[in-house]
Amino acid sequence: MIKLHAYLISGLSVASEIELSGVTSSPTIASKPQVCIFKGKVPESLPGASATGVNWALTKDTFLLQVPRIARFYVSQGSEIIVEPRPSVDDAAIVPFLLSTALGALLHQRGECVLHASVVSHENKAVALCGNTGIGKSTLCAALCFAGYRFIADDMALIRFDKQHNPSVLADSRQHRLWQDAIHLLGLNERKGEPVRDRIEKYHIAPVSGIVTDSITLKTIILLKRAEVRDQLPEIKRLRVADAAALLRNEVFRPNLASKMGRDAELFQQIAQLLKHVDVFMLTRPQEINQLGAVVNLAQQTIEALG
Amino acid sequence: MTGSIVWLASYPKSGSVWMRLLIANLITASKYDFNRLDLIWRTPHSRHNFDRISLIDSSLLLQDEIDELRPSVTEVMAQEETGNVYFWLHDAYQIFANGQPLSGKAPTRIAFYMLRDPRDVAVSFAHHSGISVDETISLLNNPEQFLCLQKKRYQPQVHQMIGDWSHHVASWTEQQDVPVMLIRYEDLYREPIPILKKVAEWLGIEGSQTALEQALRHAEFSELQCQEKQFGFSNRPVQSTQPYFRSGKAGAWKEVLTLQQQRLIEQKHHDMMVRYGYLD
Repeated sequence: MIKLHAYLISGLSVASEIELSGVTSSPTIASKPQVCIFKGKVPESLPGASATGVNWALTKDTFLLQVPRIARFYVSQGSEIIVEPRPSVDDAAIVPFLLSTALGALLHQRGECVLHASVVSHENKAVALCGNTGIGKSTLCAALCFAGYRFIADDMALIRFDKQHNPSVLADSRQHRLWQDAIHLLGLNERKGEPVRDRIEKYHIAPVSGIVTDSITLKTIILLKRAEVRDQLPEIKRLRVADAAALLRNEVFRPNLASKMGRDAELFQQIAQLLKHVDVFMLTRPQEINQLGAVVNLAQQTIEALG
Repeated sequence: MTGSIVWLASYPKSGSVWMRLLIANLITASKYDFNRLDLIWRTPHSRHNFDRISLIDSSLLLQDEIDELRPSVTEVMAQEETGNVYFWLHDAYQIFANGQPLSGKAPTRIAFYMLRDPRDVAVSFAHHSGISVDETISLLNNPEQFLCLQKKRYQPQVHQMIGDWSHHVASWTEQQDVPVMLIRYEDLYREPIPILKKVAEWLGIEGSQTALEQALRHAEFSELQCQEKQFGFSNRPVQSTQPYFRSGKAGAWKEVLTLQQQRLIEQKHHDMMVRYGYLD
């Protein structure tokens, strides 16, 4: 009999044959999990694929991904992920890719609005921190959390709209993930958990505020950008809706995949809906990493001034 | 239709930015903004491009896993454009474990290989990286040298194998897969027009005396220094101790290197330095 592990990820109940490191498990498995993850045989190709890439292919309801020397993933119907590991690859090596691109594809299959964002909450209002990989979303998120904000999500924010079209970020039980340098800068060495992947110096960190199990109204989005030249002080400015709309499209999780899946029109609508209810800012951070304190202060001042 | 790759390859600090700007000036027939070179010159080692095309967060991949995909990712980048596709890089030329070169099956029009006296490279690299000349000499002499190896922090570029200076030069100049035009920095510094004329011929673009002189004038070193002072330069790393456009002179190593430092370089790279006119 296969042992299943239960989780709440991006507001969805998940039952997984693979133990997901860096994710706090749920006490019981849902009677009808919304997402199931199993190991099994995965096709080498997708006949009739509507789009293909160097290591992926997709049809309307399926997505095939090959991660070199690790595994193949088959994502279908927005509800199932089958993983075929390469020989001798252990489950821990599979998890980072399962919880990123594979899960992202599944959420896109479900038609969800998913941002590539870290999320914190202040006075019960969510703030999403967006930006390119490596810009410092996770670091700023962790810094704000250890200054008293509540941790909501690290890398992926699923946003749902209620009947009045108000956006909320759904609960997620994944932990902070930080590079060693950021851990050292924030003084978090004692809280360092398991590596996200063996031989990669990026680690899970359990959030101080614990795991959130409810959804939080989203009120603010901060887009992070790196200064183009040295010795610039951090600055923040509110974006006009038209500018925010264009930029936010790039902050969708795996934007290229979303486009290939034919989601452009739907995402345009979702982002337009989002912008009716959130303030969007652009925060330009200095190139120098020793300016983190100034960046955190600026973010805090902005968030707290909004009330 | 797949674009045809124009490579600009060089060991670090061998004049790549200057050459990229000269070519940008030529192909746009203008004074091109050096802070916008990335709009013409694409980076096959950019992690952003790798991730966009592979749909994977490559910062979580190990070196051999990235190497397996690099040729096909580069191929896709070339397919995204038509005509000349301009790629610059510091990688030594190599065939990866899967039997493919970096460009995969994408056609190459020409590879311009920039070569500079390794003694000047050592001095320039030290200022650029904010490290000592002794450290850069170790780097130049290290056959296992990589750029942008990811360790404790995110790197915006994937790792690039450069090897030691002699290996790097030989890898490009001795391979038979792609045509190479070798350009010595010192020759470009002293007599640029004939070199630029040949570059223009390879690119199939306007190569009149007027066009070449204009491209050169718009990339004069003193002008670049002024612009950097006024606008900054996005390629200048945070750890650099000097302006990016610091000296530009050929042969300035004579005023900087100790005799021992000079010998460390010359002994290690003797044959290649003789071959390309840096030693008798």
